[in-house]
Amino acid sequence: MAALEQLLERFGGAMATLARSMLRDATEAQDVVEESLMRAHEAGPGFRGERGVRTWMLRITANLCRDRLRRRRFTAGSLDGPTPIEDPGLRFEPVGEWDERMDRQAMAARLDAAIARLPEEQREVTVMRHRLGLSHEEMCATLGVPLGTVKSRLARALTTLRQELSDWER
Amino acid sequence: MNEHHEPPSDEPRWLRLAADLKAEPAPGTLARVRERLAAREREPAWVRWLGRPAALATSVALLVVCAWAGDAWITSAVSARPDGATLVSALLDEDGSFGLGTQADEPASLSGADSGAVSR
Repeated sequence: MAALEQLLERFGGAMATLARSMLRDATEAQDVVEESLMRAHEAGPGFRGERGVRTWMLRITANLCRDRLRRRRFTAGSLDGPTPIEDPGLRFEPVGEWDERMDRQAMAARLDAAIARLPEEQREVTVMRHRLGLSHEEMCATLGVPLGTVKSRLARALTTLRQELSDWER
Repeated sequence: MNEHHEPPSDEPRWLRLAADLKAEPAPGTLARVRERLAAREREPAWVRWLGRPAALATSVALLVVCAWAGDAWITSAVSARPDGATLVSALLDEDGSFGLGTQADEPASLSGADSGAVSR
């Protein structure tokens, strides 16, 4: 149980951020975080430390998020998928410097909305890379896909975001 | 938590704003997780096993395969067994002779004691 507390303290934020960014629902995201911790606790004896604990925890979280999203699509009965739920429960906490003339919070919110509209795979890599700060190698290990796939998804996501936020490019 | 990488030069600066939004687990997460783990421990092992998605999927798949195999076996067994009406029809010639020749069809040298009874 002490290990659980450590996991929560060290990785709970990243897990919650990933879950809320993917599921766009604070309640469901919280359930995923709890389930992830439970699975980590149960699988703990089998953990071999090949890829690092953070990668391992985020992998569990990402897999559970994908399961929930798949279930939503199934129950929604629509080929287009459900409308993104707009209560992700993300807090605004600025990181780094920014041009004070620009409304940073509004821009962050608009970018978040654009990320939320990305296809799941692209949203996943975008959140991992640009919100959680994972390296390409960490993302490969977390998602279990080759480097080329990660880069390709990131590139497609960036193209889409640029189109949506084209007025920012000027 | 955010160990941010140095962004490549082709990435727009506004992409950094993605890191401005983050979340934390809800208060009481640890207590809830402990409660859920304790509740799970109280379940019988076989119930827990059945609840695992992989085990559930495997069980359903096995059920489907067994049902299909059973149906296939029953169907093939029924088709191999000759139909009673068909068998009787095959044995029974139209003239009711059951395929046996009459006295007029057989040469006299072949007739024995038994055929003598028939010929009479």
